[in-house]
Amino acid sequence: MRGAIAVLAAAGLTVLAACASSSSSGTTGATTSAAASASASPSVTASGSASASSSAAGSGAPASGGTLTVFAAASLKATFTEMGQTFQEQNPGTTVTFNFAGSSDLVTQITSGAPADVFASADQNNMTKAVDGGVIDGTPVNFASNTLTIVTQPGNPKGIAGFADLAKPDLQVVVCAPQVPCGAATQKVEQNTGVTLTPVSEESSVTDVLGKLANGADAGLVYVTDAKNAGDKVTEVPFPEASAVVNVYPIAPVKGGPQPELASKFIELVTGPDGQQILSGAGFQPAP
Amino acid sequence: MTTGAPAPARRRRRAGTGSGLPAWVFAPAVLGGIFIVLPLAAMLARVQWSQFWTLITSESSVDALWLSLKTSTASTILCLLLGTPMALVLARAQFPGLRLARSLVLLPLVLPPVVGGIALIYTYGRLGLIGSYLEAFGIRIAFTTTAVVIAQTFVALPFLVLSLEGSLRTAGRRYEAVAATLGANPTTVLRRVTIPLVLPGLFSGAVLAFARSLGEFGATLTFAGSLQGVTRTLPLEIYLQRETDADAAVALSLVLVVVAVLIVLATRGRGSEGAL
Amino acid sequence: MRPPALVGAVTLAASIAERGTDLQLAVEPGQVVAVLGSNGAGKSTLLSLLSGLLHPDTGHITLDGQVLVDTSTGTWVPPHHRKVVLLAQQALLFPHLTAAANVAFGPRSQGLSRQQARAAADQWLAAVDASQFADRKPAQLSGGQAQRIAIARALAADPALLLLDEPMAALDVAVAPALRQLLRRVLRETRRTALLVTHDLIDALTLADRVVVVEAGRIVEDGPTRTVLAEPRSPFTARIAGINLIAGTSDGHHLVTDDGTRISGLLDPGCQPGDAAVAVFRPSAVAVHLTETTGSPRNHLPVTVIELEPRGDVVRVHTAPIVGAVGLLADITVPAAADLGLQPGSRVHLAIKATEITIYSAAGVTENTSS
Repeated sequence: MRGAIAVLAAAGLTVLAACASSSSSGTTGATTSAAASASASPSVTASGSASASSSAAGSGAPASGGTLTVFAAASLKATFTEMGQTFQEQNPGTTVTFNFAGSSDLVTQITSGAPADVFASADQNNMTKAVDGGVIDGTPVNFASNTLTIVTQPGNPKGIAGFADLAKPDLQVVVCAPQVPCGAATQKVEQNTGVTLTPVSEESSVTDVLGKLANGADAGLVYVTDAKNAGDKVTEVPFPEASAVVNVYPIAPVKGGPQPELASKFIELVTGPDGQQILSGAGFQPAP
Repeated sequence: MTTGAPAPARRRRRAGTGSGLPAWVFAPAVLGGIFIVLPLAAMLARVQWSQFWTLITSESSVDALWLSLKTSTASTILCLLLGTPMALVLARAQFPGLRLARSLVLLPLVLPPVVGGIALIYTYGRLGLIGSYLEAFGIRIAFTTTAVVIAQTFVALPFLVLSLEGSLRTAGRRYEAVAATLGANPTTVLRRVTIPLVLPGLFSGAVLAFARSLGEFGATLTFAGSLQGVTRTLPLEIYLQRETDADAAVALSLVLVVVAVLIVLATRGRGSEGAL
Repeated sequence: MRPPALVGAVTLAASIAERGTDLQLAVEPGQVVAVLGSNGAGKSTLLSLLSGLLHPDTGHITLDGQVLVDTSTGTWVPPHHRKVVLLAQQALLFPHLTAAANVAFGPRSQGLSRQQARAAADQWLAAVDASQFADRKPAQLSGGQAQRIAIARALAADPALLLLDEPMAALDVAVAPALRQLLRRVLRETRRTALLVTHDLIDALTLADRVVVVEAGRIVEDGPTRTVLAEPRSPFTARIAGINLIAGTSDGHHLVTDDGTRISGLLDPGCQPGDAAVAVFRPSAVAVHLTETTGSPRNHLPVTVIELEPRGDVVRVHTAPIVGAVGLLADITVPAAADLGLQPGSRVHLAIKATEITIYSAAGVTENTSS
């Protein structure tokens, strides 16, 4: 009887191991034809000078159905949701589903085999990781950029006027940790200005920075888009040194995704005038 | 009569008492064991052993581990000081609403830790219920190591209370009654009879609380923030490293697992009964 | 041992509605009182009231003049301030302390220093012949040894009143006699006031001066040991004493049971016609016949056998209840039992000589007589 159980256990282990190995080969095994539009020119200006491959109404005939899965950085939630609706209107019968999360989480998910058609990252580092992981089809396209700004309690009670003010000793300042894009940008600003901050906390996401602010911190460093999104819950204090540190957002189709045609159409939308309008409305700047 | 089937002879290979369990129980039990051990094995397989030592001895890693150990110890002591009286009252006292009180006390168990953290901020944060008053006296709790200890105590307290209360109920009151008739006042009874008799339950409850504190993440992140050496405990460090350095994250995770296993082994060795 | 001071005067009047308890009791200093009664009769309730582990609904309890409980004024002395010590069936020695530490517990709790308490412990361990166990843990002691230590522990606490709740019940038959001797010795030598709850007649006979019978939460008999046991006035006492008792009414010459059966016996002069009365006789006075016979015994009772109990060279026949009695006992020799072919269910006739039966007035619950 004991022998039988040992055999059963070994069988169970083998089955589990087999399942594990088979699923990881799924994404790398399949091949797809690279969509031609994915390798379009990397710079598209928001002023709407349309290149030949993109027109106001979207390129070519509308797609006729199917579900597009887009993995996008959390900071793109509002804008991309709107773009998803636009895409659905322009291509009736299609559905766009989103997965918004931290960019590095998304890379981990995609390389572990999560089904995705499009990946939009909040920084180039993570996109590079995805490319190195072999899950990106073709060359990524930059579609937006973001800079930092200071946010404070509504009304700016501590009278913060610029970046140097953040170093004042009795201020509770919250920033992103250097390991995440907005934190890396913060570090660069510190280096550029020579001002070293002593924050009370280094968060892993911008949402958490805003959260700490809402609960009593004096100031935080977030993206312009986040400040705009927070509305009158915060007071924004722009500072000139921010423009020297630009965070670029790339987008690319995922290799082996089920809807490569829809993917390239979506990327066209994002980089086209409609998408750029939505992005700039939220505070994003065009990609350099 | 020896005309029985040959099967029994096969089972009686070893002398001594058997487990008395039906044979089919072992299969799901083994499966359950595999279910737990397999992810640990997967993690072990991912570790970059060549860089392992460098990764875990980096300044941020050492700070995080040291902070975790310090705060977990502090919160375990706090749990003991607060939780023991709570368990005593819940197990022995009688008053209307006892059951309700008991359910409230166990609330942190079912609450998602992040929710716990949010609640703590609303209490002790700068704009919080208590925090705003403390702020007036110049006492700041948020973003300090104290906040970490508070968060850990909040989530770990029910573990100690539950474990100890169970032991107290099992132990019963007979010995206390005898002690009282021998002339011992209630404090003496508590000190010399009640507590010594439930020391195993107290010990395993403390170990549970320590382990829970060590692994605490959601409430700490939301309430205390994350700053190296001040509030970034090991779980928070792992969460951060995940963003850029997966190898470091896995290596640190392994450290946490090893510490946890060592704790469990150390307490098992003392032959403690109860939850462990 | 300190010179024995006579303490332990107890007065108790207490009632608990939920348990149907209504007790009145007075104990004199130095007295040992055996408390008999069926299970659930209220014996343990009595002890719990005295030790302070139970609150009465209404009650007044004093010990040596100090009021322990008075529900009318709200007075309540907690157990650790009464000088009442309880010794139960299980020794309940503290498992984490050695025997000596256990015995020293009472003195320590009462404020003695560690050395003084240890000295008292040693003294009492010697008094109960258990010095060799001083450093053992309770888990290493047998039942009898543990109970011995428990007695030492109880006495070391210097109680004014000692309560014993069936202390020998959990012990082997072989071990009990030694412990009984020990109790007798320490109780007599120290002249402790004690209440002893027991099922065992021998305990009552060897240890107690006085017997109190509790039935349904009330005290139904109360008197000197020999009197109560030799002349029981309630069926239960008779059962405990191993004596037969038939209840009925006296008509001046006989006892008449409620269904008209007449029992002839030696009538006690104090028993008036019309009084409630009991007819009492020993099991050895009963003859068992398979059929109704004629002969000099005046009393014939048809009964059904329900049990045969071997007792050495005698078989005790237990019968089913009849009107007026909870069941009768007849002692016959083993050969006789074999000859008669008795089994549970056999219908037999009991014959008892009138000269073996005493009839006297019953003292019942309803009559509230003092004993």
